[in-house]
Amino acid sequence: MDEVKRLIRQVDVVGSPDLWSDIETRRPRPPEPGPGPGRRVVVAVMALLLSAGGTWLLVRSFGATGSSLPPATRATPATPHLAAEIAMPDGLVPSSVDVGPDAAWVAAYPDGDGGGALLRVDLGTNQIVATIPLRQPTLVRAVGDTVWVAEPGLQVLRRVDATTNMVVASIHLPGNWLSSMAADEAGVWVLTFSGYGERGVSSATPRLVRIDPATNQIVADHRFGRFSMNDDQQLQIGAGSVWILGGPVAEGDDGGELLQIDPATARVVATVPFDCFGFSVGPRLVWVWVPADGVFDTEDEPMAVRRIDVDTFTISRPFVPLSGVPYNLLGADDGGVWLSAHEGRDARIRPVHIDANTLEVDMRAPAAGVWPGNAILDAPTRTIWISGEHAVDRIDY
Amino acid sequence: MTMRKAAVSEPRTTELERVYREDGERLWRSLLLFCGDGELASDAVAEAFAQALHRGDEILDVGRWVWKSSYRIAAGELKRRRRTSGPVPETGYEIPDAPLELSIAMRSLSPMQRAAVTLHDYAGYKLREVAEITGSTTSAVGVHVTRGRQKLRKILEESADG
Repeated sequence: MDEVKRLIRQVDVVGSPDLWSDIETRRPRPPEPGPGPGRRVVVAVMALLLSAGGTWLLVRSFGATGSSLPPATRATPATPHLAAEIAMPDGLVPSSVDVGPDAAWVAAYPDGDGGGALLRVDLGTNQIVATIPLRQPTLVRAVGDTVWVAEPGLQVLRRVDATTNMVVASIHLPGNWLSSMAADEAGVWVLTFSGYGERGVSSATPRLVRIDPATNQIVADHRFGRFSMNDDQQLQIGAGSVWILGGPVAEGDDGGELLQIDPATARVVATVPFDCFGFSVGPRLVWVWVPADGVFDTEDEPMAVRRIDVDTFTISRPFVPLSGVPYNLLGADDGGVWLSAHEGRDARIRPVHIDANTLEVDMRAPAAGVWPGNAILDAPTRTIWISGEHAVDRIDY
Repeated sequence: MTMRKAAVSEPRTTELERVYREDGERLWRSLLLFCGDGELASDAVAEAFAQALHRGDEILDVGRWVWKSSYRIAAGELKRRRRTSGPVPETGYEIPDAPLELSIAMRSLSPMQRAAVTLHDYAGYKLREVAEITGSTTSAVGVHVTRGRQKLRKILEESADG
């Protein structure tokens, strides 16, 4: 047993109380009440103000509509199937996956004191064909011949040349926690926080940083006020813009307002006027995950999805794609959006596809990974990559 | 049999008591390491199990659920105390009846590092499971475990040097 575990195990000498009779007779506390109808009123007022252009944040406004979209053009879907289970080397946990032109890249974190690695997976054979040692890689984004890997514990972004599998640059980032990253040919965007971990997530200060891939230099460092750190999908690129899930619409809310940012100026050009708890950006649609009744005030709150057409700035009414089943947004393609669903009594993820026009389930993929594990969609290759405990599962559709 | 017990299906009560008898001690000590407060640990454990009793068959995996709930209850109370008592609340952290070096060492960690190290190195959960219990991400948990262990190791080395 190592010395740290030996230290912690000293707690075993402390006698623990028998709480069963307290448990049997205790009246459980009710869940903390939300602000109730008052918050709905605040959200509605905010929406009216924003749609009237009455705030400094808003340039464009979003309005609600139930209109349908022109049919999406995509290939006839093949039946989704489990194409590969890619085992991780001993001691490594898959943290993040992204897909480049001819390889998938896995940022694998050490489960213990050892080092991590960036793993290259050949798309044809699904074999790990290269291992690039790194200390604490947790996020990866692949664009053309470049792979960007973030090491939040070191506050460093590494650039890897995909033709040589070598680290060619290391960029030190401001703040003390790099939480999410998005990249395309024009640049790399990073959402980084200052003060994270010292007093908890909610007190950290966010910064949006852009790196120019031509020079590997930081060319923008923008602050948006105070909001909480979310997961590694808090920042995304798509539909011609950069998107960030920011702070709550009103005091006391738990979600965040979705900010649309002009990549040329790093300025907010529009704000979705209600609390979102997740989002996925597709080629022309943005999907947001929201409480079904508009207010998140119970622990097992039923969730709904809304579709936003970026071209017309219209928002669908909320719809509940899966009833009584926990799910998250997984990723958007040109035909709709994939959800990670937790159906059944095991701990697996079952991806489900929602058609963009009908808003109904039109594809179901087999179980993979471990709920609520990381899952990404790569629309160009029509693949879904789901992290398990010591493997990455690939689903083709 | 009291009216309260009659309202809960017998098999679920029996199952919950079995879970409590098998895992309750480990859960309590884990919470004690996290929050440094025996009473808070007891309240979090009791409240989580009481809520599980009340919910009955709604919960699919009772063991997993009570770990997640009790940690959220304890973390919520610690957050409330920080809001009302201001900065540096960790002077209240204490593990009675255990060697003093344990309290001193664990007090040096941030709450998130303490939760991650406790769940990973004491309770034996994998990084992904720790992330689920604490509501964090696997990558964040991994860094908290690493940093937390580095801090603890440093304290042990300094203490060995005298």
